[in-house]
Amino acid sequence: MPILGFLLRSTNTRNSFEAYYAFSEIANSLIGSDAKVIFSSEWDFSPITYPMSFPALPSYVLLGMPSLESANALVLPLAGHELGHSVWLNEDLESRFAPDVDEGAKRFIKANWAHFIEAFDEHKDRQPTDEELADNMFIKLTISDISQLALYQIEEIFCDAVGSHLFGQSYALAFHYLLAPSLGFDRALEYPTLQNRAEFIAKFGGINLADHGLSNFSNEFEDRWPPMTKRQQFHSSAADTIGIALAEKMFGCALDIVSRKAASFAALPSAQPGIVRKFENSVPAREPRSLPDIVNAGWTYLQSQKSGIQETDRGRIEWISELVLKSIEVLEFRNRTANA
Amino acid sequence: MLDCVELARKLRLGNDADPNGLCIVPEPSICEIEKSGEASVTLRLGRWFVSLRQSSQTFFDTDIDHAEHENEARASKNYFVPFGKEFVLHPGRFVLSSTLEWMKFPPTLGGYVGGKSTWARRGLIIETAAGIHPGFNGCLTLELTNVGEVPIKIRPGMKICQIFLHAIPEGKAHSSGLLTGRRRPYLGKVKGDPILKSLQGDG
Repeated sequence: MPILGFLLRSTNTRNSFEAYYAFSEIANSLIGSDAKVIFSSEWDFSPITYPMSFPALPSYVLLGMPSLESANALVLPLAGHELGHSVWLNEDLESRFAPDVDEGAKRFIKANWAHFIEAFDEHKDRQPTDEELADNMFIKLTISDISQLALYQIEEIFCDAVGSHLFGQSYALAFHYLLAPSLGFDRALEYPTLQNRAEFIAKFGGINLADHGLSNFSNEFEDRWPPMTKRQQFHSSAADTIGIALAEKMFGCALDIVSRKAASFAALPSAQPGIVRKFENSVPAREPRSLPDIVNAGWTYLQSQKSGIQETDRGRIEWISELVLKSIEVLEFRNRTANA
Repeated sequence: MLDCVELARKLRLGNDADPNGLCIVPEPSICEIEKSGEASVTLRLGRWFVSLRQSSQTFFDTDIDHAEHENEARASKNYFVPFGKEFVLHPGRFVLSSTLEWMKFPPTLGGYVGGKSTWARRGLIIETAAGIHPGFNGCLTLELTNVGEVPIKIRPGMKICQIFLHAIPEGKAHSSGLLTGRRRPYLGKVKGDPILKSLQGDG
């Protein structure tokens, strides 16, 4: 019963409860006014171990924060990724991109026929014609398997794109903080490799990572591969290739949705210096515009202290988390009392 | 004690990050304070509460070592109450909370926090360690007790207390170090007292 587990953990008072309202506002804009946010610290090990949306509960947004970091306000941008899963479901993007994925799977098989028949030697007497790919039920099954894997991957890419376009640099920095250099276990084929995800964020996320000391972002990550059969290798290689081909499209689609539906929440670079000055003066933001602006300012403050975000700087991380979370509470207070 | 005009002036300076200003976030209405004729700033109740669990612990010893401090922390329970919800304080019960407002005092200001008469007359005591030292930074921890006869519903965001301020001419000392502000109520640590230790010695 994973949902019940999620609810149980949501009572943990280490959670950054102040962020709930701000995330609900963003979810309402992106998904609809009936969005119900469940915010918790469910990730035991990494952010990518849990299905964050349920087809049976389309209006529920499950935002899971890593349990060990649940009091760290600087990782809040990663919840933007989880919001992305609900947007994906809500906009029915799987149906929209399924033809692209299907086409990509066929193109990959054609272009890599020698490898295909090496992995699927029962087809060695056949040729990669359009008719064969369209009519041969066994090859269609492989196409379907590849497409399913690729759809999972492009959903993850889309979610990174939502996080990047909503939160700006703090998404990339939180991603790096939590996931670099590696997950500590084998990559799941349903996800793009960490290196590819980082590459997409750097290339299409509209973030100048060189300004944050991460000019070679993808090289900060490494992936460990599981032992695979030739068929699994072919599936994985095909899904990765389709993911790479569609990554820019996913980021474009996410940007379009965020710009149309949540522009007033998306990170605004010009709104951040004022908040940073408040943090430097050891006080929360007085008139914050959005949650992403506050978290970005938190990261900027931390980086300006030249202390980085190491375990040895835990005191400084806790301190900036206090200011960030109080600023998020001020945002809620101001929004709720705007017409009082 | 600062009057309403001087309070408003200090708050305006604080908004401009002047080192002699008083910064309060979210900021109260400076115009209202200026016109109020009162010599205090009213503050609101925050959303975090800390209560001490009823347990098998037989007493609280003020002369405790670090390990026992940790036991004390385990004996407390945190609650977060969203806006729109309430916390019921039953007769005789005690709970820590904090102001919604984060404050940064300059070295030239100190003050006292006091209750609101409306609540005091119904049995709600909000503070017993009332001094606010120059340089204080963070949300004030409030010690709420219901000494009345009936339960009292308290709501985050309600007006809960007021601060009275005093100027400290040429004040330069800060009571708080860097990175010390807190947004949540804090149980705090009992500081070591070498004189008390000496008094308790066998000699």
